[in-house]
Amino acid sequence: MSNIAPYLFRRGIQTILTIFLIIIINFFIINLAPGDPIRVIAGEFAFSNPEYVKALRKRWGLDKPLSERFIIYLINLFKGDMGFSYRYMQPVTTIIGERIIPTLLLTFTSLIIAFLLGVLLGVFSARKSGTLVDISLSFTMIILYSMPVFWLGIILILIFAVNLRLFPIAGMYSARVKYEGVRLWLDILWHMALPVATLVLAQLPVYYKITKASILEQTREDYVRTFTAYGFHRETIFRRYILRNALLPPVTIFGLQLGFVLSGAALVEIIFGWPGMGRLLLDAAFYRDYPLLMGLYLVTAIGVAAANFLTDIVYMFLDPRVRLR
Amino acid sequence: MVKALNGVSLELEKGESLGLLGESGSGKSTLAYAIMGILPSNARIIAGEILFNNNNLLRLSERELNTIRGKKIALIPQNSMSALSPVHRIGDQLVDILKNNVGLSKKEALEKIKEKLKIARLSSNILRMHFHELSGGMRQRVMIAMSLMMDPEIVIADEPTTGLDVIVQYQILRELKSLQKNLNLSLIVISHDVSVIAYTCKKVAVLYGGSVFEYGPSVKIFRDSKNPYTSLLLKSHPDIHSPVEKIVEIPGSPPNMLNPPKGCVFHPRCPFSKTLCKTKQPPLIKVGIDHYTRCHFVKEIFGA
Amino acid sequence: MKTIISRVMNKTRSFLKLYSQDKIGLLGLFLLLFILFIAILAPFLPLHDPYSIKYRRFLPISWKHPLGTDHLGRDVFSRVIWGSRTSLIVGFVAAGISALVGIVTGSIAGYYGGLVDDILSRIIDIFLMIPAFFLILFIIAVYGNSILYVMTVIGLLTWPSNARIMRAQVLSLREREFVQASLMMGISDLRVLFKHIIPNAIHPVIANTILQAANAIIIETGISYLGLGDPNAISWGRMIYEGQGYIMSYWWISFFPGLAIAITVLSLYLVGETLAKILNPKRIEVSEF
Repeated sequence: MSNIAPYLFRRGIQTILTIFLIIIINFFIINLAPGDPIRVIAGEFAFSNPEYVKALRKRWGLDKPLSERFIIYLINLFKGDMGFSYRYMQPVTTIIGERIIPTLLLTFTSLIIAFLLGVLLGVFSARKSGTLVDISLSFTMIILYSMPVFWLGIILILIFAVNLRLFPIAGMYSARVKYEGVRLWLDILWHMALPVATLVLAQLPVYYKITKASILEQTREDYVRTFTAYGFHRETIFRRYILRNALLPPVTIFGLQLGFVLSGAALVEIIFGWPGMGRLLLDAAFYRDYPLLMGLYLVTAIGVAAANFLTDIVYMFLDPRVRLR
Repeated sequence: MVKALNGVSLELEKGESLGLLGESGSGKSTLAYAIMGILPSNARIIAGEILFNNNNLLRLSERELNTIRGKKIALIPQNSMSALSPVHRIGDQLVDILKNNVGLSKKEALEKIKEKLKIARLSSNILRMHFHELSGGMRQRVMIAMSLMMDPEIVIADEPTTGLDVIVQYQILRELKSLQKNLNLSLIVISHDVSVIAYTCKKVAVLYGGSVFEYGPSVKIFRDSKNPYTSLLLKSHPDIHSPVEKIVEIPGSPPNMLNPPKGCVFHPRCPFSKTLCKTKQPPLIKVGIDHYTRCHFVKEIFGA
Repeated sequence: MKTIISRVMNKTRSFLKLYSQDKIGLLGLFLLLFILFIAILAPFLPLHDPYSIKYRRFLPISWKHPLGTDHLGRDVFSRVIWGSRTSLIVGFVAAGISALVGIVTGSIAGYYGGLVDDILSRIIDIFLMIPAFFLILFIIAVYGNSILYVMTVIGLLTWPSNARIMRAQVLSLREREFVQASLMMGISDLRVLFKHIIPNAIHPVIANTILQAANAIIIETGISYLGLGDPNAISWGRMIYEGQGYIMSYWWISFFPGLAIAITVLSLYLVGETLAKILNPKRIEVSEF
C-alpha cells in the first residue's frame, strides 16, 4: 500500500514532462508554419508600407530568432501570460477566459450524462444479453457511433428546432430578451439542450459497448462459480461483485474521453453558434493568430493531460491490483 | 451437444476420501459441479440421481440447494487469481459468505473465520489483503479455510495442486489429509495427477471420456489395475520407487466430446481393442471387493 | 510456388468460413463491397455530371434528380456517389500510412526494448494524448489543403494506436520458443523480425487498420465540414458544409452526404469489429512460414 505515493509522484512528473513537451511541439509546429502573421495583422498596409510592417514586426517580437522567441514565450508562460492575440488585440488569457466556461459547460454536462446513461444501458443490455431489446440497442448504438457528430447536430436541429420548434436553433442566450438570475439559467439550459444532446448521443456508444463487454466478461470469471457454490443468488453476486469489477473499464475510459469530447465540442459549438473555444480555434487557425492558437492548444493539452492523470489516480483507488507495482 | 458424463456410478461413505482421476475433458469437474448443482445454465442432466443423506439433490429447488451449498457440501475452488473477487478484500468476502448463509454478525463471522484460518495455518493478516497479493500456496489455504467455515460434511477439492510448486503441493496435501482425519470429513479430490490422488484418497474413480472406467480402493488400483486405460495412465507416470521402466505414452488424443467414439470411449486409443469395443459400451463389472472396472476383456488382458 | 498458392487459398477459405459465421460482419462486408463497387464504377454509371451547374438550383427529390440539386444546381445524387471515391481513397491511404508507420515503429519498440522502447513509447503516449483532430485542423489550415495533404497528415498523426498494438504483440512473441530458436541458429535480427514475428503479430493490426480507415474518413469529413478541406475534391463533409445554410428549406443538400458518411463508416466498423474478433491474438495459432 505504500506504493501509492511514489507512483503518484512518478505519474505527476510524467504529466508535467508531457505538458512541457507539448508546449515545445506546439510552439515549433505553429511558428514554423508558412504564412506570415505580420502580413495578416498589417492587413491592407502589408504591401504598401514596409516601414509599418517592420515596426509591427518589432512590436510583436517577431523580428527575433525562433529560439529567442521560444525562451521569451516560456518565461511569460511561467508568469501566467499566454501572450497577446494578434487579431483581437487582447491578452490571450482574457479571450480564452471568456470562452472557456461555455465550452466546459457543454463538455462536462455531456460527459457526465453520457457516462451515466451509457453505463446504465450497458448494464441493462448485458443482463438481457441475446434478447431483442439487447440486439436492437446494440444496433442503434453502432449506428449512432457511425454518424459524424456534426451531421448528428444538423439532424437534431432539423427535427427539433426547425420542424418541431421545441428548441432554439443556435446561440447560448436568447438574443432579444435580457434575462436575469434563474430565468437566465433556464434560458441557457434551453439553449444547451440540443448541443448537449448531440454530444451525449455521440459518446453514448463508447460507454455502452465497454460496459456491456465488461459485464459479460465478469460473468465468466471464477469467483462467480465460487460464490454460487457458497449459496449466493445470481442477483446478489451481480450487484455486489460483478458490478464493482465490471465498472473499472468504463471509469478508465471516462477520463480518457476528454480529448475526444473536446474535438466534438468544437464542431458542435460551430454548428450551434455556441460561444465557446471551438469557433475561436477555427478563426485563429485561419488568421494565423499564433498566440491565441498556442494558448488554445495548450489549454486543451493541459486539460487532457490532467484528465489522464486524474483517471490514473481514481483507477488506482478502484483497482487494488495496480497498487502492487 | 457435449456429452460430458455418461455412465457414472459412485459411492462415498462418511469420512471416506474419494479421488476423481482423469485427464482434462474427462468429466471429473463436471461431475463435482453436478453434485453441487452449479453446472452452467445450459447444462442438462438427462438421467440419474445424486443421493445425499437419502435426498436426491437433483430434485431440489435452488433455494433448497442453497441450504446445502457451503454448509453441508463445500467446494474448494480451483486455485486461480480470480477465485475470489479481485477488487474486494478477502476478509470482506468471507464475512459476506457467512452473513449470507448463516446470518452471523460481522463480529461473530470474523471469529469463526479466524478460527478456520488457524486450522489452515494462515495468519489473520490476510483478511485485510486482496486475493492477488497472496502466493499460490496461501491462496490455496484460503480456499481450504473458506470451505471449512460452515463445518460441512463433504468437501470437494477441485485440483488442489494447480500452480503450486512441489514442496508446497506436498504441504497442502498433507494438511488436507490431516484435516480430513481430524474433522472426519468426507473428501472428494479432483485431479489429473496420479500422485495427488494416491496420496490423499482411499478410493479412486478413474474417469475417461465422461465415464467411470475403474473404481475401487486406490491402493489396489494403483498396484494392480484391471483396466487398460488406468494401466496405461499409470505407466505414463514414472514411479520414483520402482526400477527404471520405459515410460509409455498413450497414443492419440482425448476424445472429442461433441462426437464421442461409439462403443467403448477408449477404443480408438486402446491397444487391446477388438470389434466388440467399437460397437458396445462395456458395463462396469466387479473384479474384486468394492473394485469395479469397465472393459469387455478384463479376463483376457489381466488374467483371472 | 504451387504450395504457397494452395496454402494461401486454404487459409483464405478457412478464414472466410470463420468470418461468415458472424451475420453482422457479413452485412458489413457486403455493404462495404457494395460501396467499393459503386465508387469504382462511378465514371461508368449513368449519372449526371457531378460538377455541372446547369440544372435548376434547389430542386427537391425527384425521379430526374433522386436526391435533389444543391445551391449551385448540381445533382446531389451523383455528387454523393462521386464523393464516395474521395472518402474511400482518403480512408484507405491514410489507414495504410498509419499502419505502415505504426507497424515499423511498434516492431522496433517491442523488439529492441530498452532505451529505444522507452523513447518510442513516450512519443506514442504523447501523440495519444493530443487530440489529433485539432492538430490536423491547424496543419491543414496552415500548411495546405490538397486532398493528398489531408490523407498524409491524417495517416502521420494516427499511427500511434497501431504502434501500440504492434508493440504489445511483438513483445509477447519475442519470448516464444521459435523466435529464440531462430535467433540461436544465427538468423539475423531483421530476418527474424520480418519472417517470423511480423507475420504473426500483424493480425490485430489488420483489424485496427480497418477501424482507422473509418476514423480517417470521419476526420476528413470533419475537416471538410469546417471548410478547410480541398475545395476541388468532391467531399461529403464539404457538401454538408455548403448545404448548412439552407437547412431549413432545402435539407437534402446536407442530409444525404451525411447519411453516406454514416453508412460507409458503419460498414467499416462492422467489418473491423468482426475482423477483430476473428483475428484476436488469443485465437491465432502461431504459424511458421
